Amino acid sequence: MASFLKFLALLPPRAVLSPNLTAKGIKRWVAPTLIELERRRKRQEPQPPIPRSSFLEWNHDAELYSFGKRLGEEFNQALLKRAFTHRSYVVQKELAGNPTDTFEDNSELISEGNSIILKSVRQQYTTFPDEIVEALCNHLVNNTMLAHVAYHLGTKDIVLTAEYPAEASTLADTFRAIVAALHRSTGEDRAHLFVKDFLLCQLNGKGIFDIWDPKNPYEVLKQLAQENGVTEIEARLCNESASNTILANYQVGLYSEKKLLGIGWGESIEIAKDTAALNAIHRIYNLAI
Amino acid sequence: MSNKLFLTPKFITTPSQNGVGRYVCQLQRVVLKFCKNHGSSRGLREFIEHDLINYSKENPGTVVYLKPRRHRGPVIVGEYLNGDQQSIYCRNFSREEISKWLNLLLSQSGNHDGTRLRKLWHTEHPSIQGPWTPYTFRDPMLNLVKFPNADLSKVLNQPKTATEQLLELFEKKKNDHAPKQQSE
Amino acid sequence: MSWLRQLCLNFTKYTRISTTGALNITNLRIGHAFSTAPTPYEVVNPNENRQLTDEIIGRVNEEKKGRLFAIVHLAGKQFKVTEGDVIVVEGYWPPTTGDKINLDKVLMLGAPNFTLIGRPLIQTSLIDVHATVIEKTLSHTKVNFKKKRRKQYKRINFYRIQQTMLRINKVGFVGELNKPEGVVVKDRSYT
Repeated sequence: MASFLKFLALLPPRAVLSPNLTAKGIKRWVAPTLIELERRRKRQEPQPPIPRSSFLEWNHDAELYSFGKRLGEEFNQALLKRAFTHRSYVVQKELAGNPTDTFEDNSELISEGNSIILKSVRQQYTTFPDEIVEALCNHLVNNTMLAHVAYHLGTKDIVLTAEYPAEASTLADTFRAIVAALHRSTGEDRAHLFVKDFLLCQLNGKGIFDIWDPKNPYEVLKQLAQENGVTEIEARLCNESASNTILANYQVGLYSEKKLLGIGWGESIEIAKDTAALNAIHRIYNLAI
Repeated sequence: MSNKLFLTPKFITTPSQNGVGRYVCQLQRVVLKFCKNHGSSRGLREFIEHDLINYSKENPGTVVYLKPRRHRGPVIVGEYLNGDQQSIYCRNFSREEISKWLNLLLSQSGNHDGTRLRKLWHTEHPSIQGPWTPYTFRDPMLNLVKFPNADLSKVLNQPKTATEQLLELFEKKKNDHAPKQQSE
Repeated sequence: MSWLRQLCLNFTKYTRISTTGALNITNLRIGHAFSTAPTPYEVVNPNENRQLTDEIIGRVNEEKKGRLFAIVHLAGKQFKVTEGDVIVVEGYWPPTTGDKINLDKVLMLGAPNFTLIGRPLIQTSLIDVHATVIEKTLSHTKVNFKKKRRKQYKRINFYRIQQTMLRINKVGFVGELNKPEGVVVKDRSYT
């Protein structure tokens, strides 16, 4: 019964009655054959992955068209094709011969796209101080993050590069080029909305202090306070517990003119002060992302 | 009597925060492999003849490939944006069944066969009002208290003794009788 | 109507029937089809000091709210939701992928500084909870196995239930407490 259930659990939905797996059961020779095939596959060297575009069932133009439609955007097809064509692919084609094929590569689109993306991110967080906006840009507009976004848009099979599978930097560049192609096709507003919907949503579930880690939060707070004209910050110990043990914790509150700026706890008073300073900065700027 | 020992337990995952910005259909392409002659592919052939064009028009974000293969059973292979592949062997399926399975592939975000969900919810912010700390309901007065303190050393929630209860009853009765006597 | 007649006939032992023959209903004490308990009511004191209540309500309306959570009743179950999280609704549920839904049955709304508790629901004019349907799948195969021992009776049934995944896009506090739209409060006295 248990083995039958295990077998059922691993089956795809609805009875899979292939010739090897009839209503009578699995044929005797199936398991030994599969085991032998697996053994031989392991003995071989690991084979390079086969690109999806080399399959019989592949239509590059259809894939580009559905790419645009899936994202809900109207792309200029020529621009979109250009956005996916990388320099390495163009070089490879030129070396192979056949001078009739002309390919435009996406280098221009990449640099254009990068500036549009940075502009979109900065536009979204105008109320935050520059230091935090820079940290956000560094977190979002880097090759790893852009490659992750591009991969989940479905670019890994459509992208035209010399090597397969495409590297992270290549995919990131593809995303930049797509944003530029969209900007040229439909305008700035749509491009900003695209960046907001696909890149900025990656901040979901993250707090501002996961991204921005100031070295001395208390100093940062003091500077902020000076700029805003707050006189003096008073740190007070609100609560403490288990002071003589390993699991000591102290709760420190920062006050200015008897009004609470921020409260935080930590393993020692200095750490608690820093946490309280971070809390105060969070409250002042309303750092909700 | 359950197969949950053999299923991989997983938490809810969404590919690349789908839904936070805009919703994107996660089915990238679908390959319909069928035999042109054999009866087991009849349902799939009928689907291709009648319902396929509507299906592709309604879902322009999914590429549909047709691959006629002789002397092989009919298969639907769906490929998702996160790289998952799901193949459904649709031997002797009817046209309606194939339509239903294709719509299921469209609405899924990956191949979840052989997995079970551990929880039916997922949140990055489990606590909004702050998790309980020993200081949440602590009276700040306790910070200034000097121990030993007579008030704080009292026994809490002590039930009334029998003597106290009797005394109370007596007082109550006395008060009840007293106004009557006064009125008389 | 015969049951009512029977009921009345049964009570002839306990009631005095007047000489005219009509049933004197005021003497019927037991076995009513309706409740004779007095209706509960609350006397509102017009001279009550509303200063504290008004101050709290004012603070709730003015201060910035922060991240909110809502307890939402959906398809017979309740979920604690906040912006950005995903819930799974099991069973037959018509909304398909891509649909944007307004969740109206909110039982509680919480913020870092206050909570609104509905009795049992909070007015929809105060709450804004949006969600998008992101996925509709089938669950893992569940088993329904029945056996009666020593009776040669066993049945096995495999089933998969539909699961709909909802992404909560927004949980918001809209409008103002105690100031419903379109309502003009003329006189707060209840005399």
